[in-house]
Order: sequence, then C-alpha cells, then structure tokens
Amino acid sequence: MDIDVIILRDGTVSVLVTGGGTFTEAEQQVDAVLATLQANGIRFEQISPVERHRHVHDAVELNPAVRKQST
Amino acid sequence: MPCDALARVNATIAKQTLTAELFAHQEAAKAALLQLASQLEEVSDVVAGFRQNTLEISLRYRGGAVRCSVVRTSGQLTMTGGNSVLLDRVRLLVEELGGALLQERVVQALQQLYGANATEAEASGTARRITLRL
Repeated sequence: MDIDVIILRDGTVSVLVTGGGTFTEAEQQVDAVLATLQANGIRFEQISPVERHRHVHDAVELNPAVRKQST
Repeated sequence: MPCDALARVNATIAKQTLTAELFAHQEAAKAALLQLASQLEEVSDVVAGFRQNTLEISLRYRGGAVRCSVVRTSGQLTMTGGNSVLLDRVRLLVEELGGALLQERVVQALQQLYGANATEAEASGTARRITLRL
C-alpha cells in the first residue's frame, strides 16, 4: 500500500492510503502513521473520522457508456 | 475489475502548537521573522528576540512603532500600538512560520522513521508531501 502524508502550513496533516487491500488494512495504515507522529511529539487537536472510498481502475475505459456520459 | 481501497483522514495541529514550534528553533525563527516581517507593507524596521517563554517583536512602520508579544504556552499574540490589520498580518506571519517549522519536523520524523521508504514528492503551493511505500 502507498501512503501519502500531506502537511500544510496551517497545521493540517492529511494521511491518504491507497492500494490493493481492504479498507480495514488501509485504516490500520492511517492509524499507524498518526500514532507514529504522535509518538514523536506531534500533537493533534482534532482528528477527522476516516473517509472510505473505493478507487476503480480504468472504469471509464472498460465501460463505453460511462465514458459517453462523462464527456 | 481491479479496485483500490482508499482511506483518508485529516488531523489538525493546534495553532498554539504551531507558534510553540518557533521556540524550539529560536535562531532560525528569529532570522526568518526579521526577514519576513520587514517585508510587511509599511514596515521599515524589525527587532525580534526570545525572552524565556515570550517572543517579542518590535516593528517600526509608517504609523509609528508597535511591540508584539507571543506567549509560548498559550500561543497568544498581543500588540501594543498599531491597528488590527497589522495585528492580523503579524499573527498570520507568526503562525505560518511556525507551520513551516512544524512541516519540517513532520517531514524529518517520517524520513527518520521510514528511512528509504519515505520520499518527498512534489506538492502544490507551500504544502509538503511525503510518500511512504510499504
């Protein structure tokens, strides 16, 4: 799985996990990164609920009807 | 059909934590403050210094002179003299500078912890982005 950590100057830290696994695994990775940062002295005031999405590869290419609708 | 699980979370670091970061890097913070504050509109002279748990910034600008104080524990910024516009500009500058220092700390922590698996990728604007490959 790939993890992107995006840090903004206003103090927002976004953790985005993608990969060919389950949501549970992705959530565990998100939690692990946040826990690692907290263990290293980065204190968070607020943590949002984990958003879940499913990214489908090549959906547009596989389904011409979808492609037509999207154009 | 191949699918990816995708999970995302946003965590917020408190503003007072951002300003407190200035106190952890006093030399760098002071140098940056002197440079950035002198670029504020109408500001001609800047003096900055840390005294125990307070950061003091003195500005000379077209309307006179002001003194700002940032308290380490609360992150509270107070200003004597000046106006609310200048106060807002100084507050934004202080928070952004603290945010930049904290960005660096997060990046260094991730690179130290994940080693070669952590690489900095291009990000838009002033954001910083680290990609971890596990």
